Amino acid sequence: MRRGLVAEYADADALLVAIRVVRSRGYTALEAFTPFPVHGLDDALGARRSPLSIAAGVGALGGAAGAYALQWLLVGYLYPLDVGAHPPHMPLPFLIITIEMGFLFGGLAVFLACLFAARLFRLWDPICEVPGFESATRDGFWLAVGADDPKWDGRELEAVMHGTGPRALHGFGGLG
Amino acid sequence: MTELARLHDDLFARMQARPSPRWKLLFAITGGLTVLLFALIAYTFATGIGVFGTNIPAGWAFPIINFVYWIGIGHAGTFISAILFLLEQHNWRNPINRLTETMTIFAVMQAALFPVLHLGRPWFAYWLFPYPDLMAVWPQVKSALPWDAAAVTTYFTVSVLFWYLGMIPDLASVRDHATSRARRIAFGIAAMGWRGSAQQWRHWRVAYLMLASIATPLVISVHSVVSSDFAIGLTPGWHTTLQPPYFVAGAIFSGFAMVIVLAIPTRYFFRLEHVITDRVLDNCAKLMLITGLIVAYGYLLDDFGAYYGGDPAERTLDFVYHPRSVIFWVTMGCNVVVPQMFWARRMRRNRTALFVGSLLVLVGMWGERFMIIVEGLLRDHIPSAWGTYTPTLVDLGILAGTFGFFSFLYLLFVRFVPFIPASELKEEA
Repeated sequence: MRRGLVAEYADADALLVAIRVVRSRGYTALEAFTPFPVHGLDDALGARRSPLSIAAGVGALGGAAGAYALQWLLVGYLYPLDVGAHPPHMPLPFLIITIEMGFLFGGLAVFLACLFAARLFRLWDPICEVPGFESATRDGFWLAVGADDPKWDGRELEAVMHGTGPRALHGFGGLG
Repeated sequence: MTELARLHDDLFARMQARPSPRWKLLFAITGGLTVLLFALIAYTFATGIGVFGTNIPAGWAFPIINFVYWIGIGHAGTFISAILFLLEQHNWRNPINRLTETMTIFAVMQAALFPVLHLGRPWFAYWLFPYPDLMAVWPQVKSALPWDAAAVTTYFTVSVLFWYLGMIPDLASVRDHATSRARRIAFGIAAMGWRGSAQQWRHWRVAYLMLASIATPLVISVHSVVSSDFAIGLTPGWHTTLQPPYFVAGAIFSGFAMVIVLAIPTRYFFRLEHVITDRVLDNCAKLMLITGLIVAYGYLLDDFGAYYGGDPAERTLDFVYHPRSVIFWVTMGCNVVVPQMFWARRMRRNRTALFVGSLLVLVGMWGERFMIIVEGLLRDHIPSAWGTYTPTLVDLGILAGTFGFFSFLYLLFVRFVPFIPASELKEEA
């Protein structure tokens, strides 16, 4: 979201009401900024559930399968060593490292997927220039509507957002 | 000013207060111990591990005791931050979860020093990992030691990820309200561009939940794997299926003691009595009591196993050697008798009793590790192999040094990082 209008609300309820109003006018490019995860915000914005649990599952299964295969390759195949008369390929002792690597790669996968999905590492955004926007990490609840919205009509939207009783209303990314 | 703003300003003002002279004094002392630790490590590397008291038959002594002990300390951190998160105990978990996660990370760092020191040739530590080796010799994964390397590496990595992910929103808070440009840049990079957008929170919540779910079985698995270093050996006092649950309970027990030992001075120095309330400490004491009872049951079962199993070496160790061992009685006193005072609500609400009781538990749990690891080796199956063990000054110095290094890192952490999870407290408010 590079250009658009952004409004600040005093609490989460006011933000949720404003989202409902703006969406009822047909706007879809909405984003909210809050100091903590607000219950019901995703439903209000019409967002889908985050698919990150799949990343954790894939990472865990991949890590576990890779660990088992590596153990088999190293001590079961390439360098078989008789320890306590156990067969070279012995699943039971392989299980512990298999499970641990499942946890490890599941954790790494979900962490990296979260950085990617949440678009972290983008240290600056035009919206950061909005005066007072730093309250989004303190006590402010912000609603932004992007100018890339197909329904975009700056004047109408400004009036609509004014009607929702914001603490402040600003344009960003070169808008007003 | 809104309620949220007041909460926010109050928390951050307290966390960013200028260091008091007492903080500086503690910082100097722990810094000195850290220097001692690294000097002794350098001395050990240069001379060889003959500088330790480790001998034959006590081939595993201080370094392994300290390893097991410090790994155990870490457990309560993950227990609080992951298990209590999944059990939705937010009202008493949130105020201390970052402190305890940090404790976990710093404790595991101390623990990780010891296997490397104990190798004798620490520059070959990478042999523990299955790197592409031209000699075609790889870790023997049918031994418990590579399991340990895998378990501890996983535990440390997942703990760091969980800790950091949870901290990103608060790092962004510090960035947005920083007073100096240097802080703004440093925290700006650390917060990785967090803006608190709904999209970010949506993914963050799922990732946090997933990491909590991954960390939860790790609380159980890490010390179980560590205990199998002993359980799969034949030494008296080691060779029992009791070890995994007994080690895990002992780990959480000593971890909660460390949480209390850290939380009481932290809330005092930063005037956070209204955040880290008496109720939080009360609950920690209750969990310490419960895990302490499990540990006491473990002692009982260990003796029963020795009696019922009928192995002469086990019986000699438990019924002849232990009653004459000072360490045994110190352990029993600290781990079995002392925690019983926390049945009384008055004691759980009394700072001094909590602090002293927890310190004694920390002593007792160290004693327990000594008892399990060294005393079993000193009374092996053949009496001609029996021996004695005395630690050297280097052993004692390194142990003291790890306490210094741990506290040094902790003091730096509470000085520079938002150690109360503000965004989670705001959500509760």
